[in-house]
Amino acid sequence: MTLYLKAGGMLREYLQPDVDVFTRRVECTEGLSLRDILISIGIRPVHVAMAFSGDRLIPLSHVPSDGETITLRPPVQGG
Amino acid sequence: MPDRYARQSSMPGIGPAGQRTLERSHIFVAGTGGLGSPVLMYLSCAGIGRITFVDRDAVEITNLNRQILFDSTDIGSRKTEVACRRLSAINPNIHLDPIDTPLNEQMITESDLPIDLAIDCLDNDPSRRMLARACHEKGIPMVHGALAGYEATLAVFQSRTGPCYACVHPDPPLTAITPPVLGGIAGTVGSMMAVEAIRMILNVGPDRSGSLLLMDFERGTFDRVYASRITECPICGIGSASSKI
Repeated sequence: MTLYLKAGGMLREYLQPDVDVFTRRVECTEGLSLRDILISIGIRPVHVAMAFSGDRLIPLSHVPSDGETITLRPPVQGG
Repeated sequence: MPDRYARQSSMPGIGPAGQRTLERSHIFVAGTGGLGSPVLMYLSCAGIGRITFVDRDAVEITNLNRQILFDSTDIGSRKTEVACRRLSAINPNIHLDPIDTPLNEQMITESDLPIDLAIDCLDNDPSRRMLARACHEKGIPMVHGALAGYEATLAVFQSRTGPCYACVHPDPPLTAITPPVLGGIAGTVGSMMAVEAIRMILNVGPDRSGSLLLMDFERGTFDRVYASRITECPICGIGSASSKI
C-alpha cells in the first residue's frame, strides 16, 4: 500500500522527501504500525514528537490505511 | 480623559462588563522569555488585574533576538525585575507579582489568591509537566505554547474535561537544549497565546480546549488538530497520583 508522510524542520532531513520538498511517498506492507514504518525507512521514533492525520493526533501505534497522508512533528519545546 | 481600554472594550464580547472581568482576573505566567515577553506585554496592555510571573534567569545577550521585554542595557539584570519595571510602565494600573525562583507546583496549588488561568511560556518538558500537574490539581486551564525552528505549537488544556499536556506527550520528548528560535515567530505565537488567554477569561468564542494549533512557518501551514484524553496519562489518567481529585 501507499502512504504519504510529510514533515518540516529537522525531520525533513530524516524523511528525505521525494514527492515535493516536504512529502515522501512510502510503499509498505498493510497492517504495519506507523512506528514500524518509520523504523523501516530509517527514522527513529524518538525524533517524532507528534503525528496527525486529518484533524486528529494519532499515536505511533496507529495502523495507516492505503493512501493516507500523515504529518510528522519533531519535538517542539523552546519558549 | 479618554479611557485606556476604549479601543478594546468596544469589541463584541468585551464591552465595559468584559473589561471589568479582565481587571478582576488573575493570570499566572511561567517564563518571561521569547513567548513570555509578548504574553506579559499584551496581558498588561489589556488590563489583566493581577499577573503573577516566574522566571529564575538573568538577561543574556543571546536572549535579545526574541525577548522583547529586554534590551542591551538589561544584560546581567534579573529578568523578573526588568519585566516588572517595563510592564509597570506599560500599565501602572495592574498588580504584578514577580517570582525570581525556579517554578514549583506550590506556586499554583498553594496560591493565596485564586488563579483563573496559567500560561506555559516555559522552555523544557519537565517544567511543563510540573505546571500541567499543578493546573490539573487546581482545575485551572493552561494555555501552552512552544517553539523550535520554524515550528510552533499553541494549545489549550483543561484537564478536568479533556486532555492535558501529558496526554499529548505521554513520554518526555527528545529535545535540543537550545533549539533555534526566530524572534518574529516567538512574537507571533506569544501574541496569539495572550489573545487565547483573554478570550478564555471572557468566554468569547468556542471552547478550544483539547485542540492544538500546529504551525509551520517554513511550510506556511497552520493545522488545528484534536487530541484525546488517554487513560494511562501520568497526570490526569486513571491511576495517576492526581487522578482522584
